[in-house]
Amino acid sequence: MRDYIIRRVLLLVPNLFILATLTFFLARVLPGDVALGLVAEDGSVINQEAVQVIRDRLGLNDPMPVQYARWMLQLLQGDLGKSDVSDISVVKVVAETAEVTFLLAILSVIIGAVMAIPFGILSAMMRGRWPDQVIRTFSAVFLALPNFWLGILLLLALVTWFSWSPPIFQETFLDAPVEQLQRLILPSIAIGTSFAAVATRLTRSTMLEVLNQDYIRTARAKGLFPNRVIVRHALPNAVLPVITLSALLFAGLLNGAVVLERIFALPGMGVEIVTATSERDFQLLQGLVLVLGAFVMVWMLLIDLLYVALDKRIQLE
Amino acid sequence: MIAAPERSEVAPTRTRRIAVSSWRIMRKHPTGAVGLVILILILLFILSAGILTPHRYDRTLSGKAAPMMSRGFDDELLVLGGDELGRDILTRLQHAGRTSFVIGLAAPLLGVTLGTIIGIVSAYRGGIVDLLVQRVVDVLISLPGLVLAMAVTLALGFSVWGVIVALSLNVVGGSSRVVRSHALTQSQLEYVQAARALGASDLRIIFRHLLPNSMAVSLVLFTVGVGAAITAEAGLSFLGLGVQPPTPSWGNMLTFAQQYFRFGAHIAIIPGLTIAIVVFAINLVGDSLRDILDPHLRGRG
Repeated sequence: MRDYIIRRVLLLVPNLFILATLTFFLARVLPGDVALGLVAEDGSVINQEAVQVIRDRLGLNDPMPVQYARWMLQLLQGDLGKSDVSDISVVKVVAETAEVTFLLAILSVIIGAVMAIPFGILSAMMRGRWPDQVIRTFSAVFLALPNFWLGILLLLALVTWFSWSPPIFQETFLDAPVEQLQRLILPSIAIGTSFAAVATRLTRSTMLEVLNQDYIRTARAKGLFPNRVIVRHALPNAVLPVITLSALLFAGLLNGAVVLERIFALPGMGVEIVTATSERDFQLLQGLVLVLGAFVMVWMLLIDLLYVALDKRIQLE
Repeated sequence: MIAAPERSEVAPTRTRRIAVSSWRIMRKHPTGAVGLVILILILLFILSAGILTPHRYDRTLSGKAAPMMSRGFDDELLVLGGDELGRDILTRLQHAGRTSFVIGLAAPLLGVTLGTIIGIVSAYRGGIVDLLVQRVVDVLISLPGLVLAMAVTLALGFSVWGVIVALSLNVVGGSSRVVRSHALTQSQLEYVQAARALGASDLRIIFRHLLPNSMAVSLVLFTVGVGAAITAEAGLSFLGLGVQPPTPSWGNMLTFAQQYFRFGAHIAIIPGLTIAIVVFAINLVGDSLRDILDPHLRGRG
């Protein structure tokens, strides 16, 4: 167990190195650079001299290996640099935008799990009967709905029936938790339902698998109440795969977050990434993508470790 | 040598046999059959672009967001109404379907093929190759696909091919992981060891034994990928980073939906609903395919 944890944590080092390299090249494959955009904002004729001055200042004229080395050295010092456009430190931008994105993803997982686990269990226990059919049909339908479209429809419904539009304000969760949750609840429902669709199917199939096992038969034969068998014996083992799924789908949830932030005018990392990409703000883009990727990696590692800790059936070599 | 007349006798029985066995499979998997029928209908709908309606997909025929079954400026019938520029939605849906289907099929085909090869080689070679390849796969899996796709489409230009390559990258990581774990168990089996004992080369083992045995897994991954790619294209287009107008796609039909749905909700509802129906049908077919091809994968994902 200890060796496994050490091995997995050590593997983070090469992973982060590759991630940092990939983010660097991801930014460099973009056509054009920030200088063209900054100069074009000032006047219609592009002043070549001004372009060169900006490139020199940002070090974009240096050879690629030099730029790469600078990026890596900077990271080793724990510095994400400053935005090429606004000169604000990338860490500050991340700090301001991360809350919305991660709250959105976490809230979606919670909403998804709250829907998926009871429905999945019900579906498995009622296998083949009408509640099972209804639940399976709904999960198949929701699986097919693009979550950003669901977001648009939710917005559409609220705008037409309640003339409600998403509030625009800049407060953090700690300052105004209720308002923040109100603002995030609709997009979270949109992302959460597609997660719930997958998770319901998974809960159902693992539950069916678990219910067929000997220890459940034993528990029933002992004369335990059926509900107790489900809650105490079957549930813990049936829920584990859902936890893993939430880790595996986390990157996918962030995908949803990127688009839904845009629809609901939320100041999150997704919107920031789209802006940084279109402005060719390399430093900001690299920083944001690196943070997102690193977060998903650490999250997946934690879930894996949690899984090993919780599931007594897993035997490590 | 088989004589010509004999062959003509064989042919009908063979077609008949295939017909009977596919009928049997469909009876056993009715949901898959329903999905298949929906897909065929949608394909017919898309292929009849230019025949079904007399309109052009890029011409303004009516006012902004004309309602369904309304008449345009020259008294043309707009069955599904007009979009934000007054173009016929029905006609656009057909032409857009071509783009979306080409992307939906090509992106996972490219991605799963690459993923399968990477997964098998990584599992078979093992050691340092496996370790390094899997680190790259780790990184690919942990990046939100849309972010990756955004950069790649910008780099390759907003063409259909640019989007295909961008979206295929999303599939490579995940599919290579799944194929790798499948190939790992396969390469432990006796038949692979027997082949190796007989002196088969690595390439031969990979292409003659491991690859054919991973086909079922890859096929299932591909089917799942089709629905995902169509949805991802829509997401990318919605952000303005997918296939660019004037080429219509189901995704970019939704790009301006949000700004204009106050004028008519059908602009937002119709393209999204089409995507949902297609993905639903693909999922039905995919689930049945998974049951038929690989019972071990049942219920996953």
